[in-house]
Amino acid sequence: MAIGIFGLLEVMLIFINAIAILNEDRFLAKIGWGRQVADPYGQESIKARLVNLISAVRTLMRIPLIGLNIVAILYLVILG
Amino acid sequence: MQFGRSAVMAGQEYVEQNLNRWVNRAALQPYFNVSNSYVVNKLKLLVFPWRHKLWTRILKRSETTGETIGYLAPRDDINAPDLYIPVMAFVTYVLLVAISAGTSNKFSPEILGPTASSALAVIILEFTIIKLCVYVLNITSDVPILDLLAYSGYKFVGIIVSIMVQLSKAPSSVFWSVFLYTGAATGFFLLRSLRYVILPEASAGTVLPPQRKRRIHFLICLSVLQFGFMWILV
Repeated sequence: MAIGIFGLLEVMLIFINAIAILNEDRFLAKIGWGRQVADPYGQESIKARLVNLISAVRTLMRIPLIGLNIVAILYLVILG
Repeated sequence: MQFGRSAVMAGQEYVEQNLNRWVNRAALQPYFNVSNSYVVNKLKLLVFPWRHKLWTRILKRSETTGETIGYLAPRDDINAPDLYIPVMAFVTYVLLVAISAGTSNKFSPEILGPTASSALAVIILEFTIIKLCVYVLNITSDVPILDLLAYSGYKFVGIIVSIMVQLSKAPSSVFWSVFLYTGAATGFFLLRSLRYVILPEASAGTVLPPQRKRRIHFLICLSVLQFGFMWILV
């Protein structure tokens, strides 16, 4: 009984939050993880895939995350 | 009498309608198309996978045109993933944990919920890891989600065997050797089954050697991870 399903969902939410707050100009570009031009031929390296994933999470999840965080906070305040 | 029957019929229809809205029955049905001999053979294979030779699934061909349309159902093909064994093993696992709590007089009904929840959490965690690695490694084979769930659910069979040994008051050395054996068997089974998911033969030409190597490493890591998942659950 290490961790329940809600605990796991919480962990995932916190991880996505962590990815979403990485700043493109101040942080990612400095360590060479800034957004690159996508390789149209598909044979990308692991790093390129990760960079893509981060930028996708940052653009796509920003607004849903607000709602998800509110739901999680309410759940933890009331039932946690 | 007539009125009762029509009421039951209407109820059935209502349930069916609502069920179809939430669950895709047509996609789910082949996973439960099992026979007794399939279940027995699959359980044997899960406990002793070392001598099994052929791990590819059999393609189903259309009767009229001869084109391939998906795979054969588990009833006719032992290598096809089913959901019957994982679901049953999951329920059995939850009950067995409750029994083992009962033998040490620690049983309370509240045990059942957290056990099921943590088992589900392990399955979801494994599923997320696989999906993430499939994305990062740029693997383009489209595996149905239910296949992955089935493969990660098979580990409950090994866990059940380990818990049975634990329940029979065997010495801890026997328990650990049984646990290591079932872990290795589950890992090996997963290694051979998922090989055709992660290293598709058809696109062998487009996979570069370093990429292939990375995928094999991922497969091996995944099978070693089975020990960890099983240890959490035992």
